[in-house]
Amino acid sequence: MSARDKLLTQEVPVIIINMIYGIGTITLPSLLARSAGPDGIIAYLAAVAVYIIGTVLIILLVQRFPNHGLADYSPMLLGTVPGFAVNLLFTLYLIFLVSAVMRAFAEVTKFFLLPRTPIEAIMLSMLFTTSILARNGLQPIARACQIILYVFFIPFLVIPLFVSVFDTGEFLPLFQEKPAVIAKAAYNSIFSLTGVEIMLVLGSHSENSKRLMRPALIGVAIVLTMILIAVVLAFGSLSVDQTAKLTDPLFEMIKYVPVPYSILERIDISFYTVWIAATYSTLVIGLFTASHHVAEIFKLDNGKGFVFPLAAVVYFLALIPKNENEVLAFNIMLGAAWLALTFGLVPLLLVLSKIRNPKGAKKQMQQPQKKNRKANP
Amino acid sequence: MRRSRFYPLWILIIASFAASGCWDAKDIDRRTFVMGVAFDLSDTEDQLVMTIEVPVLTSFATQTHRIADTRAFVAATTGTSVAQMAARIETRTWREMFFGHTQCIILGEDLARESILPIIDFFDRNPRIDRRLALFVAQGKADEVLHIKNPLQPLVSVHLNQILNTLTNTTRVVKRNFQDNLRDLESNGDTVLPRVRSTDTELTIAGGALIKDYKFIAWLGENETRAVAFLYNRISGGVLTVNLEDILYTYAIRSASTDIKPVLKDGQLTFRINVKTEGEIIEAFYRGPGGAIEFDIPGIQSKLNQEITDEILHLLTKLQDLRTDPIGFDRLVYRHYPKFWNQHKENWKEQAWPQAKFEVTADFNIRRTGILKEVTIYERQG
Repeated sequence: MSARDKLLTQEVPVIIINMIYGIGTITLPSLLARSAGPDGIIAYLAAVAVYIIGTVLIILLVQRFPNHGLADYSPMLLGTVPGFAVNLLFTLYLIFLVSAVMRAFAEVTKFFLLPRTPIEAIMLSMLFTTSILARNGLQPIARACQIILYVFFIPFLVIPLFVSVFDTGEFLPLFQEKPAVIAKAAYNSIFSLTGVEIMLVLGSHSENSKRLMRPALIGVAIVLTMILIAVVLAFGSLSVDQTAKLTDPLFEMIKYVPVPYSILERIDISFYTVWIAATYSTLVIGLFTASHHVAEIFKLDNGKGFVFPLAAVVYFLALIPKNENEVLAFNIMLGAAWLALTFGLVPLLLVLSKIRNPKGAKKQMQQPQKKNRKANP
Repeated sequence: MRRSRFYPLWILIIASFAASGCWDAKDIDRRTFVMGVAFDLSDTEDQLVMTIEVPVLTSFATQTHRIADTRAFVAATTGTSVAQMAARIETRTWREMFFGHTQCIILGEDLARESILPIIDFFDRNPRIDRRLALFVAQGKADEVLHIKNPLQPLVSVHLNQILNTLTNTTRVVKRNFQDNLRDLESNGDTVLPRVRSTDTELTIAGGALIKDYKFIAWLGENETRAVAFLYNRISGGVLTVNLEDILYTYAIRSASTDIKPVLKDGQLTFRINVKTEGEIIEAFYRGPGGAIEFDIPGIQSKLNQEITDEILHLLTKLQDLRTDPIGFDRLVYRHYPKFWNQHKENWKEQAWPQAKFEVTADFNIRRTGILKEVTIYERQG
């Protein structure tokens, strides 16, 4: 593995934050408010708890097989054919995830920014630009994500402006909904948090896979806190009722912020920029992970050649939903797939790696990767 | 990989496509920037009249304009829905209507009596609306407000919004924006909107329009509206005048806050309302004989407390009589006593709300009396 393909320890949280923070954050407050009212905050915290457990499981699995990706060890643990099937399913999951993000991005962009531009043009231009970076390898992606990360924090600079419109009473009463309702709201919100599973592929590129847990959890904690702040601001400023009614409450929330002396009267425009950057990084990382995973399945040196074909598949899949309700239903299905992956496949592989303990294989796995196996040229 | 020597050419070709604009390119002169919009009932079959105020941008662009120059274009049309009327105006101006800079929506009194819900839906749904715009109810026809000719204020809509947002000399108006109104309305259908009145050259914002279940039901006087402003916790300034021993003391509010707490005891719901303000005496107005006397600060404070307490109690009694809850006491009950709320939410306005009791206290604090320590009264000599 060349230095170009290595993921530095400090880049791991950056990649995780960039992957998770994006399109789902915009709709999450509405989803939570609609499903559980003020208890939406409780539902989010429940989803966070589940997500952190899932992250720990994923990283534990990555640590069991340092220097190797899911495509390498799943056939060994499950058998060649089931392992291949699992890898194929995981590839499909990644492609569907990128497609969902792509479509949701195109929907919102069309509605808020470019109402006359065909959705196909929005998607093609975004896929083209993301594919270019995705083809260039992990290190350029990590560098780009580091730059984009600073942009994510810009919206948080306006938090003091919310003081005059923020109502803490909006979070009351708590625990009024039945546990089943809160659980369903948490389940519905999982899609907005998906992303850490990319470590099943990229984790092996970390410069120290054995010590991946800390940076991964730091990344997850930072991004989940950022999303929590966004949800709290939406509930407290717009009210739970309004948040539930709006499709994209974070954009409306920004329009409501009292900006002193009309400086930046249309402050919402700058937020669209941040949000596009966030979606861009999610798509780049998603495309790279999917293409690299395919390359690993077929024991190829790198996934560069798969980026454009996968982008084409993403494009056609993203065109399938007829309207935004179908997009939402599809996203919830992806949340279910994430749960199945994290709490079904990952624990299974972990248990199998303990029980079967393929000594020879494990020994082989713990050796450094072949020199000619690269993430990218 | 060996790069083609035509590589830069490809970049140029792709960039020329990407940089040549998009489907949504819209020049500024091809948009109608609607600064204000007024709605009235129509006598025709179309039912509604929409009047818009649009700035004449060229007159703002030049530095050599005269006062007599036309600075605003006011157009009106009839229709059955807001979107339909907007489309009709577009056919006359050939420019796309843009509501992103709209400063105010004015509803005619008669229309508001029918329902304000159909009108605000269009704006609530529009992603380009600035949610800080102001919603007014006009006493009389709404379009008359947009037709006033004030030589100092070329755009009525901007004028209206600025008056509302810079009103510091009076507390007799509720300073709230579209989003605040929506918050109330979507909670229980009730709110208070500022009242606007107009003459040929001037407009006044004072008092309020009481909205119940999205329908205008009564005007609130200026003192009642001040009580509403205190209960909304939206007092940022203004003056109050009280009479103590024939001297009129004017108190300028510098800060104010209102705390409302519901208390449920033995099935009886009571709201404890505490108003706190800080400010200073800016005038002592006196007519008649007398002499230099010390300020009776406790006496003035007590009088101010009494006046605001009475105003708030008067307002609350009126709201109970009208079976309307624009302040959102229902939300407070829901937050603090969810079980009680669940038992009474179906008949809140009709039964539980009218039976609620109130304990109102006010705490006015006079920090200064200007730069004078005494009330100086001229006493005729000899």
